[in-house]
Amino acid sequence: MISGQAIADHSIAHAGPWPRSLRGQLVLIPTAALLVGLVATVGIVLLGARTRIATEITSGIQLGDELVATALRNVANDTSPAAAFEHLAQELPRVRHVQFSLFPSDGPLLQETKAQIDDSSQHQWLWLGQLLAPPPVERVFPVIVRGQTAGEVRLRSHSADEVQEIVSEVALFSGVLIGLCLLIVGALLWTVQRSLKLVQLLADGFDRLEQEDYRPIVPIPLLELRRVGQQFNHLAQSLQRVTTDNHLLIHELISLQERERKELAAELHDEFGPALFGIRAEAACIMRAMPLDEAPDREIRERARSIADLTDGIQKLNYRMLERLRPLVLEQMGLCQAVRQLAASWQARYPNMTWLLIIDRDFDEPDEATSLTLYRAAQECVTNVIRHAEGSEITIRLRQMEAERTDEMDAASAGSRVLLSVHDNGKGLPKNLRFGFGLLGMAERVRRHGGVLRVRNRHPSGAITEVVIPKHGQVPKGEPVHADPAD
Amino acid sequence: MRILLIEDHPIVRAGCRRLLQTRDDVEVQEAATAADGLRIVREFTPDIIVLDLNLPDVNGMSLLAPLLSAAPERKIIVFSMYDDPAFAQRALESGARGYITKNDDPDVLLQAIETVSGGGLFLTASMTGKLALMAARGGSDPLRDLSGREREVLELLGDGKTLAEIADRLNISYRTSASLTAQIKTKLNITSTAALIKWAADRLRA
Repeated sequence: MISGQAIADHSIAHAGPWPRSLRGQLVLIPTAALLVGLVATVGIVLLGARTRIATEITSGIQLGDELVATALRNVANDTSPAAAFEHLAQELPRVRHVQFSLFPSDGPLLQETKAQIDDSSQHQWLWLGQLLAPPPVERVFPVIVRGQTAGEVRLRSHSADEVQEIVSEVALFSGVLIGLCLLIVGALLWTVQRSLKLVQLLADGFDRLEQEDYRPIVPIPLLELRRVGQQFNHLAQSLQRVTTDNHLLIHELISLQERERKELAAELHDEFGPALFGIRAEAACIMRAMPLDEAPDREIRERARSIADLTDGIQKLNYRMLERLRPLVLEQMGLCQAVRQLAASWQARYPNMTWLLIIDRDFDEPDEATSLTLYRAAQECVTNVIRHAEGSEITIRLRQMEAERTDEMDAASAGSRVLLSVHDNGKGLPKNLRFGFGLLGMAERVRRHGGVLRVRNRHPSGAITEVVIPKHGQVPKGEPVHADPAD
Repeated sequence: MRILLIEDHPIVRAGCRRLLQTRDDVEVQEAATAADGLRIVREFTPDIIVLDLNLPDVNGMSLLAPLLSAAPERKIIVFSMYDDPAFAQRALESGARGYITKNDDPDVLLQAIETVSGGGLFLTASMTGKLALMAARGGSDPLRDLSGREREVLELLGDGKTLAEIADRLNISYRTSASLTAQIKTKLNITSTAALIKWAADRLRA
């Protein structure tokens, strides 16, 4: 509302190290931990894989050896080599990691037991197999039927299915871990999102405090923040109390000042003025009654003249005091004439400055209270310009604005308004403008009328003070906000 | 010469009476309120009325018309606390023949009576000066000679609008907006449109 007050101290927010994001940290930390776990698991599995494959292959070959030896013993007495190979083909079962091949001496490859997974079919894992698996082992057993060599059985180790198993295990581990990771991060994000919304509620609350909106925020449905919410509401309440007290105090001060001025002005006007006139009238009568040019007439006449002169001085002082206390023109002739006279009297004192007074052609005189407020505002503005602006031109404007809402500064009132603006071409507002009592008092007067006071710099130079007052009374404040933090 | 004094303050009335009685040819009656004044004026039929502006029941300025309506040839001298030329101007416009203040030398009252009874208008030298200054300066309003339309055009020029935009906004023809601009230049004694736009932007834009 009093825009000048909120200018300074925004730099504090940007001080200190780069701000960390809670959300980012909550995602990063568990993700990193889970990734480390994943890498470690895969590493451990792969490290153990070489030994595991070697052991598996060795036991497979041992088993193969025994099976081949047994089968060979069983076919030793078969009737023909062909029958023996047929027998062998039935006898030799499938064994993990081992491939049997039957080679009759008089013919081509008879049969080959398929490995569970052919090495050659697993191209994508071949490099892993080569890395992890020991070199393949090949054994050759002669097939002897009735003392005659009928061919051979070849036994060959295969590591591909073991590699495949390890790869599947790693894939499963990784899949489960990544899924878990996503689940945890998702849950964390959701929780953080919800909690941050509540923090946002608080932040919005503080923003509103800055705008002098002291409505409480809704109870926070989060144990850890609930107390903060309650504290916020207490803070808002006490702040509102303090602000109200402040407004009241300033208002009281101003009313008191205005009342005293009025009483003093009434005394000066109703008692001092006539009495001083009375004295001068008496002195004038004395002078008329003493027309002769010799003593004692002359002496008496001169004394009476002195009394008249002294009284004249006091009368002039009396009039100036009256003007300062409560401008007679304002009471008798209204705001426009009073502001004209204000400009004229300042112009007489500062003839080197250009004084411009622009009043709307159809300007209606506002009611007495509004007029007084606007007049005092004009007085204060002009005084400020003279004291601080170091400008050469000052423009005072009185306007009235009809029902359209063209200005964002008082969206609350859409009725017709009176606008007073005073601007100069001086050096502009100081960097850290603090309202002195004059401006504070002016802002409070304006606020009491439901109006707005705005002080700002003007392009290309100088400053402008604007006062907007609704023509008819005050505008009530809105209803309390009911924000739902959960949505 | 019959003089009616309408003045609420007894000290001022006493002072005036004593001053007026220094002349032999006057007959003075007094009224402390506007109501009394209006009543007495009917019976007493004064030649001159000395009227205070600050009466307890009514503003003296608004009493001028009823006092004059019965006898327009009656001469009224306004006698007030207010030194501002605007009061004097309004009093004279409302039919008063003289304007003096309680801060002037009391002899001025006698001079004023002398002047107005002879058919003249009376103002003190200092008030005449102030009135002349006020007329010359016109209350420092540079736009005092501009019509409402001309003011609107000037504001829009200050806001950076072109003549075509102004014509559109105000629902007038381009020719009209151009001729209004020319009139404004004449009235403000500014030669170029660019200078006029700068003038308006410097002074009218918020």
